[in-house]
Amino acid sequence: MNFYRRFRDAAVCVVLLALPFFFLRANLRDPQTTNAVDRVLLQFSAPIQYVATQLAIGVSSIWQEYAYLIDVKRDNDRLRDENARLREANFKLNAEAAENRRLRRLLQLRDQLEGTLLSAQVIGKEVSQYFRVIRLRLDRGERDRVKPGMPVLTADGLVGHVRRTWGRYSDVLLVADRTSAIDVVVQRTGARGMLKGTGREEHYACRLEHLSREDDVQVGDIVVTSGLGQRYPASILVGRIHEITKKEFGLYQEATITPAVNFSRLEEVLILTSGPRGKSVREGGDGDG
Amino acid sequence: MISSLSVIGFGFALLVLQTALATLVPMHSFAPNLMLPIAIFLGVSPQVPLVRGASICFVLGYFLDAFCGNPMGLQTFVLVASVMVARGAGLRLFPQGRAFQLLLTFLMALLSGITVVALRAIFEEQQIPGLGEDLGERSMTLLRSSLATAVVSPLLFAGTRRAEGGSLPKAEERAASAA
Repeated sequence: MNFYRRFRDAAVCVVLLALPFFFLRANLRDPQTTNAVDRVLLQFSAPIQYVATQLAIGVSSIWQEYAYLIDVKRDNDRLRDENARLREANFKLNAEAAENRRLRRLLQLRDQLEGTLLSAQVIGKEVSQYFRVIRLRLDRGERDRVKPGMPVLTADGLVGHVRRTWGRYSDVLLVADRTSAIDVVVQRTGARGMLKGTGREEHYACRLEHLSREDDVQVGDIVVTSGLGQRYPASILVGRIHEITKKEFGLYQEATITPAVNFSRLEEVLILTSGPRGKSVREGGDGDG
Repeated sequence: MISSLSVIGFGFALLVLQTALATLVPMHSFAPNLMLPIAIFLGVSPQVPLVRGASICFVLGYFLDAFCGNPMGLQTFVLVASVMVARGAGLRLFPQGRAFQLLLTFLMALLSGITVVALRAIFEEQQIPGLGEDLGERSMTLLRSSLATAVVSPLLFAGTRRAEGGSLPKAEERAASAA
């Protein structure tokens, strides 16, 4: 029994040693010189080798893909951070470019207008429940020699006038305010009327009153200040006619005006502190409403 | 049977780990042969019958060939031969200390490397001209790899001992504790 066991063990060891040797020999030999035994060994070993190789490839690929995913995640995190930084930089640049454009237009307006203009920053906005600006607060006041009644302008057109001042601050009454009234003319025909704010909270609008029934006005006509009343210089863009209401009887017709200035987007304005009021100046912008 | 499977699983896990690490850390010629210390341990461990050790190494060698893309049988033959050589050479000498273990592993790694090169030179000489050339570079690669194998071998011995010893028969455990 002991002899049999030793013989068996020795035989197994020889087989375990000989088998890979002959497999190796069959695998590495020149295909031209393989004999029948090699071919049998190759046929026998090929499926086993295929299974083992597939298993190894499968396991390796799982790990490689895992490592690849780690790299991808690292790259992804880095690119996300870089993207956030670039977006922030881009946002800043865009904001600076927009500010630059606004300031350039204000400078152009300053060149066009006669008189002393004081630039001011909008530091506060009182808004309605519909998020429409009702009143503006500026960073210029009594100490800057700003007084109530002074016109407030932007490159887009007329904003309103200074309502009250104190210290370094002042409040602006907008042209769309219910208490605002400005003498204006329709630029195309010279038709004259009184522009009053509607004070509507849901959108900016003014009403052009005392417009003679015979006056030729059309939707889209530009309305500018007349210069009468000595408060505003003449020819400052106020808005465009949005709608005309002509009743069947009466002396006048009415029109709804959309202000040229978008009060919600105001950031910098000019205050006309001195100079000829009522003198004609060139129109200060397109006024898209 | 369970201990054999444990050792095979341990070896397979090591191969997977080495494959994963190879993609992250380029080891080049310092890549150790992680299966060889297992073969040496199985060869010198008196609890492991030679047939079982050779069978385990046959399977591990097969995995190694498959993972490394070697011709089938190359590492299988070398590992099975290593078990037998280790059994013959180191059975009585192995417990003599860690330094000896490192030295034995280094020498065995050198021997197995030389065997691999010799086998390839014998069987591939006609197909790959110049395989026998560039002996200096090949020798350095062999030395580096053997050194790396020797350095990691204590860890692998401990791991294999745990995988193998975890399923020792209770009678042996009792005898060991009584002693």
